[in-house]
Amino acid sequence: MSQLGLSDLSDTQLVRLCQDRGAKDERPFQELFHRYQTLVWRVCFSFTNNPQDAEDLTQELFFKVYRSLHTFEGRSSFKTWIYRIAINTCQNEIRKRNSRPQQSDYDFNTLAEVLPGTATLETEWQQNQQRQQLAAALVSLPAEVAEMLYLKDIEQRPYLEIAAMLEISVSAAKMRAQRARLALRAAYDHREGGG
Amino acid sequence: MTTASTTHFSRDLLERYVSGQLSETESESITSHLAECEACLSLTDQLWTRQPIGEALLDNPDLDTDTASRLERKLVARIHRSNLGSAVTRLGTQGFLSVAFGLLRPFMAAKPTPHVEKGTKDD
Ligand SMILES: [Zn+2]
Repeated sequence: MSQLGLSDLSDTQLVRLCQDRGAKDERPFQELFHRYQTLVWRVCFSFTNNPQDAEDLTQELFFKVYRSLHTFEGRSSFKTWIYRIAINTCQNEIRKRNSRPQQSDYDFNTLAEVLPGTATLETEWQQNQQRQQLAAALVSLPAEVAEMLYLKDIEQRPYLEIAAMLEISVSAAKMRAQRARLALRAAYDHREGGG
Repeated sequence: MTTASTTHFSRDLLERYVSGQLSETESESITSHLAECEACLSLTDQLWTRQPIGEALLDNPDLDTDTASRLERKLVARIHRSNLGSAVTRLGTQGFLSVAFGLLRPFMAAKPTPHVEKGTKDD
């Protein structure tokens, strides 16, 4: 089966296949989708804190990637390329959305009124508030700061690996990670204080 | 490269560092130390993941299989639609060009610089 063969290929080989075969065969792209769907969805979720939004953004993003595969030159790894597109797309999309009138997706306030005093619900509400605030803080940060937080604190990658991925020294990676955390902290606290 | 200082930072100070309670100057000097000191760095990493923000970052969920397969179905359908769309456009353009070229050919054969009136005037 050719599907079995595709899973043995490297990302770069798959991208080349996509570029060569174009619209004639979407299976190499499907294989890339299988490899990176979780990564992309997780990035989208961290910026939205909403499964439906994360799903919509993931679809949008892979479609965008499919259409722009010909621009992938292999200067970074495909993985780095795709999560950078993911971070940029999410930030742009949410900033655009935030400039329009708001509507809240989760209405835990109403739920709490229906079931007053439910401890788990209150905790859930609080945790959700916290995650919403975190997502908003992540959106407000520069893309490279969000990238560092994604690599270090969401994906839990070792400093050595991050340094290699970003082509910087290990001590630079360590410093940038700490600064990214402090920047996130400041953006988060600013939101909390600002209401 | 500087050698790591032998005096390490206290847990209490690092706690205040990760919770953003220090001045920028204080924070920067700790950040520089962390880049060179494995002991303080791993303690800082631990303290950070115990902060609500650090915890929330870690808590990011995974994609479930139902969503994954729904996503794939929708994506493949969308790719097919778009490929079909561009194939029709391409075919349309090629068809038009070959017809246009066929019409022009006698002119081009007859005169070296044919004068072809382009398009029709707008109303
Ligand atoms: Zn130390």
